[in-house]
Amino acid sequence: MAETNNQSLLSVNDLEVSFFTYAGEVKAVRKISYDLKFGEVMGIVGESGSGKSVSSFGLMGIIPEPGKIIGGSIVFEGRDITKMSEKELIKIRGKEVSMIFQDPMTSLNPVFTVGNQIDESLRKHTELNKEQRKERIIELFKLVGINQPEKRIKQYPHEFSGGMRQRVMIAMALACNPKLLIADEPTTALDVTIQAQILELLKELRNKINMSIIFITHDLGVVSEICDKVAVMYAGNIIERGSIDDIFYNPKHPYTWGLLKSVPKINADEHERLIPIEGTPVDLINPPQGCAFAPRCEHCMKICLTKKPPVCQVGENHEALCWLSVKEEFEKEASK
Amino acid sequence: MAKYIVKRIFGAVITIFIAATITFLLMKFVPGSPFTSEKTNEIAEAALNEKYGLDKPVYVQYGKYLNQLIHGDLGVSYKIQKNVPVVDIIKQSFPVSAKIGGIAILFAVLFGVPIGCVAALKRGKVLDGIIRVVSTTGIAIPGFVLATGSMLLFSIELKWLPTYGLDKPSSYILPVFTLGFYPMCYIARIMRSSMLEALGQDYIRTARAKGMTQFITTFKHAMKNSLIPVITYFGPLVAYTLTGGFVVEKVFNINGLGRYFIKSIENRDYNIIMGTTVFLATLIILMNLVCDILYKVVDPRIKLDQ
Repeated sequence: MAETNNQSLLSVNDLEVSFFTYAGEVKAVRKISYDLKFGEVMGIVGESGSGKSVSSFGLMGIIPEPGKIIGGSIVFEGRDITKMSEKELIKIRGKEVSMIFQDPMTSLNPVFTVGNQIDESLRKHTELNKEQRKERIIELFKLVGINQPEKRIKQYPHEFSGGMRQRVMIAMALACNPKLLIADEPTTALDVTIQAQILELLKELRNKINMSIIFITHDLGVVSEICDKVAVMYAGNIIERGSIDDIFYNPKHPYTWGLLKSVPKINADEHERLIPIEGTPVDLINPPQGCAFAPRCEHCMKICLTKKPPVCQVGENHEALCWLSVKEEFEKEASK
Repeated sequence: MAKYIVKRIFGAVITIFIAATITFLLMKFVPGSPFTSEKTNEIAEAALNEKYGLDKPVYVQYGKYLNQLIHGDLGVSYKIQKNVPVVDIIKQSFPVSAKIGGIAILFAVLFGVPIGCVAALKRGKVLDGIIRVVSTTGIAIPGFVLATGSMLLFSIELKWLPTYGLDKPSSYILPVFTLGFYPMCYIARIMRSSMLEALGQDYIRTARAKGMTQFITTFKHAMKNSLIPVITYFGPLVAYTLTGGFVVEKVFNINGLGRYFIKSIENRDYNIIMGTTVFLATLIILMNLVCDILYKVVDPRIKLDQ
C-alpha cells in the first residue's frame, strides 16, 4: 500500500450543487463533506442519480449546464476551487486534478489521433518540447500497458478496443502527474476481464506514483478491491462514510445494509435470493423534509419522516447520517 | 486512394453519359426549334435544319452528338451567338461566373461556419435568437428579391454601389452578397445544429477536464466533428454557384455562364443546352468526388474504398 501522510489534499465542506431546470431546482448534491489525504483512495458509491458524479465534476469546475455550485467549499491544497475563475481552473484541470470517465468509447475525440489528444494536455501544462513530449507519451503508454507505443500514438480512437481506450484515457489523465485522479465509473462500460485488468492497472499505478484517487462506482466489489475508505451517497447526501472495514463489516446505515445485501455472493446457497432495496429514489426537486431514505427504509421511525438526521459519529472516522445511530447512542448512554 | 479515384472517374464518365442522354432526349421532345420564329418561312427553316443536321432522325443526331462529345467538341450555337463554338462560349463566360461564385462561396463559408458556431455556443441567448431569425429569413427570401432589394437600397437610394457590370472592385459587392447570402445562412444553420450535437458529446467533457480553453474545445474538438454536414452541402453548392446564378447575372447585367442555362432553353439552342448541362454535370460529379475525399480528411473513421 502506498504511503499516506496525514496532510489533507482535498477537503470538501458542505458542498451543494443544484441544477436549474424548467421543472425546478434539482438539488443534486445536498451539503456533503469529506476529506482526502495525500495518496489515499476514496470510493464513492451510490445508485444512479445519487449525486456521486456531479459532486466530483464540481471538483474540477466542469458541472454541466444548467448546474451550479450553490454553497460550500472545495479546498484543494489550501485553495478554494469554488472561488476560482475559469482561468485559474484551467490551470488545475488536467494538471493537478485529472479525470477518467465512464465510457471510453465516447470519451475520446474520434477525429484526432490519441497521441495528439495526450500531447494537447502536455503542451498546455508543461514546458516540454516536441521530442520530450513524444517520449513522455510513449513512456505513459508503456506505463498503462499499451504495446507498440510508437505505432499506437499515431492511431485514432476507433482503432483501439474498449479496454485499450480506457488505458489511453488513463495515460491522458496521468500525463501531467496529477495529485488527484477522479475515476468516474472507469470500469462500468467494460466487460469483466477487462474490468479486472483496468483495476489491476490502477492499483499498480497508485502504488507507483502515490497519488490520491477518488473512485466513483456503484460496484461494491470494486470498492473493496481498491479503496482505503468509502462514502456512500444517497439522494445527494453522504449517508455513511468510513474505512473499508467499517462499511463492509460494521455498516450503520440501513441503506448500506441494503446495498450489501443486494450484492451477489459467491458462497451463497443455491436458492438464496438477492434482496433488493424496495421503492424508488426520491424526487430531488422536492426532497423530503426528513431523511431522504425514510420512505424506503425498513427501520423507519416517526422522527425519520419529519426531521433530517444529524451526522452521527459511530466510530473513529466512521460517520452515519441516521436516527438509528442516534438512538443507539442514547441507549448506550442510558445503560451506563 | 489512387485506385479509388480511378474507379470514381470511370463511374463519372458513365454518369455524364446518362445525364447527356436524358437531356438530349428531353430536349428533342420539347416542341419547337432554334429557327422557329414569326419571321422565318418554312423554306428557310428547312434549309437551316438541313445545314445543322436537324432534319435527320433523332438517333442519328444523338449518335453524331456523342461522337462529337467524345472528341471534346460541344458543337456551335445555333441562335444566341450564331456559329460560335459552345466551348468558346463556356471558356469566355465561365471565368466571369466562377470569379463571383468563388468569392460568394468564400463569403458563405467564412461567415457561415463561425456564425453557426457562435450561435451554438450562445444557445438560447439573445445572440443565438438573432442569428436564427436572420438565417431563417435569409433562406426564405428568394434571390431576386434580395438582388433587387439590395440594389434599390445600396445603389439607387444610397448611391454607394454601382448597379451593373463588373468594372470596379465595388461592383462585386452586391452580386457576391446576393449569391452568397443564401448559402451563408444555410451553412450557419447546419453548422449550428451539428455543433450543438458535438458540444454535448463526452469528448468535449474530456477536453475540458484536460484544461482546454473554451475556444479550443469549440473550434478544435467540436468543430472538426461537426463539419461533415457542411461538406455534404458544400459539393453541390460549389458546382451551382461557380456556374453562375441566373438571377444575379440577369439583375446585375453580368455576362456570365448562368444566363445561358435559361436563355438556351428559351431559344431551343440545342448545343448550348447540352453544353451547359454536361458542363454542370461534370462539375457536380467532380465536386462530389472532392467532398468524399474531404470527408476522409475530416473524419478518419470514414473508409473510401467500400
